[in-house]
Amino acid sequence: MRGLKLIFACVLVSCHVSASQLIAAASDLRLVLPVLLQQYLAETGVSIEPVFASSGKLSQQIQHGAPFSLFLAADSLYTNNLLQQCSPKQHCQTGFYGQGQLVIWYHHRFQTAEQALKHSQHIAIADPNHAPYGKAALAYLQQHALWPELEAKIRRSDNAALVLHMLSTGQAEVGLIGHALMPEARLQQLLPQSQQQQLQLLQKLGRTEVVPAQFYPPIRHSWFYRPETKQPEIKDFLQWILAPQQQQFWTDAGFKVEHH
Amino acid sequence: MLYPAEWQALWLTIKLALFSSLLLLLLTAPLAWWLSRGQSAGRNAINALLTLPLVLPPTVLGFYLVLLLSPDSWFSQLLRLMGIEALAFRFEGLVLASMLYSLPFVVQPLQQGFGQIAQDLLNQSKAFGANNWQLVTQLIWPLSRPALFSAFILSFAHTLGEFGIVLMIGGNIPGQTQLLSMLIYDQVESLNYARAHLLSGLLLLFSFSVLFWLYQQQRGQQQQGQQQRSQK
Repeated sequence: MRGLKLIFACVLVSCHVSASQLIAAASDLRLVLPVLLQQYLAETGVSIEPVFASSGKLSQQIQHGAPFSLFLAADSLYTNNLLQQCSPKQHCQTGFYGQGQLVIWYHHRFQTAEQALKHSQHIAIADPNHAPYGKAALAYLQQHALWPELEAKIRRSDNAALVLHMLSTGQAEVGLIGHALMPEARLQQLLPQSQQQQLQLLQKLGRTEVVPAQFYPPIRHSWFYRPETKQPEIKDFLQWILAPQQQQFWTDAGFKVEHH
Repeated sequence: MLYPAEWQALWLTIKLALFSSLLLLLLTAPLAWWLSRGQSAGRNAINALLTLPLVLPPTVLGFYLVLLLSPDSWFSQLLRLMGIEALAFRFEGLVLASMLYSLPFVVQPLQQGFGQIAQDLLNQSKAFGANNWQLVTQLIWPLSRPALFSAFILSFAHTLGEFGIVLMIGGNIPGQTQLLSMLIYDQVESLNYARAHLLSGLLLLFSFSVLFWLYQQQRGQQQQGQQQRSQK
């Protein structure tokens, strides 16, 4: 009945989320960012709606007029490009909010990550052309002694979050993803039940290891802010997520956080 | 059963399908009529152009539309001169993209339907003194109603399943451009398989019902036609 009322309300007035502010966020934040947004809603009463895609795609969308005043990217390359294209009167800004970590997930039937890379049939990574974690994963694999063999096993997905989907549906026995898609237990407990179950299933099926940072170029998560009169509350939200109180969240999400 | 965001996406999908199908019918009916009234190289070229969305991948159309609708394009600047905002990442942009993508699904059934109206019949009616308005309302409209109906339903059903082109043009913005197909993709990415199942099942059932209803209507019309012929 509530749904029907909403449909009728939508028929009468154009069905827009006028109360929500929009932000764009890299796919590796797909599981954890909604938790942060819920906390922000509870604290301030301001509802913020995230749109997720790979950083490269979102950057393209913003260049072509997508209405996001804040973009949480997984690579400073994209935020710097957007900053260069901003005119001085737009007062655009960028900054760093954490260094992402690459993790490798592999099926339990392999003893080690090395063994998994060598004997698995498929290795899932995000598309390196527009997904920063895909680029990092490719750089890691290219350094491996078995690279010519590994290359043929790579299965690319559109973004980092879809790698998780490929792993949970058994399409690949090894996957390289952002740590934020496999957050620490404390943060996992705050996720919706269905997501917790899927992550628990993956933890039962395989092992996760953090890939040492020296094997791939730094994944510098950066924000890009472009003031918009329609979205005045976004600036406050940006300050809120960068505040020291939120550092624990970013650490639990698998980021190495420095002073902003 | 459905969350507000899901109702929103469902409504937006239905609204887009309705708007784009009705607008397409209105705008392409005169063109389909002209195309059905003869054969020439010019008509064939236009026919080929109108059928392109059927063979081209949605990414080709999406790519050109993204360039055309972005705020700095000549088209958007022209719109701005008329006081209209750039169409990219807005519902109006989705309507335009859906109309282009569904063009062949409307033009071809209309063309076939109009083509079945014999020129002799039109000429005879004119000879008996019928004016153009009477021809349209009393002859062409009743005879081409099944074709109009099929064209509308095909375009409507096709728009329900759109994904690629609307994702490129609309950007998956909740409440503004997020359609049911995009929300399902979102739920899969978020590992919310239960919601993805529910929404996919809903879309499947709805699309099946629309197509089943279309075939039932067509069957009914065929039976009606046979009865009329046997009475004569």
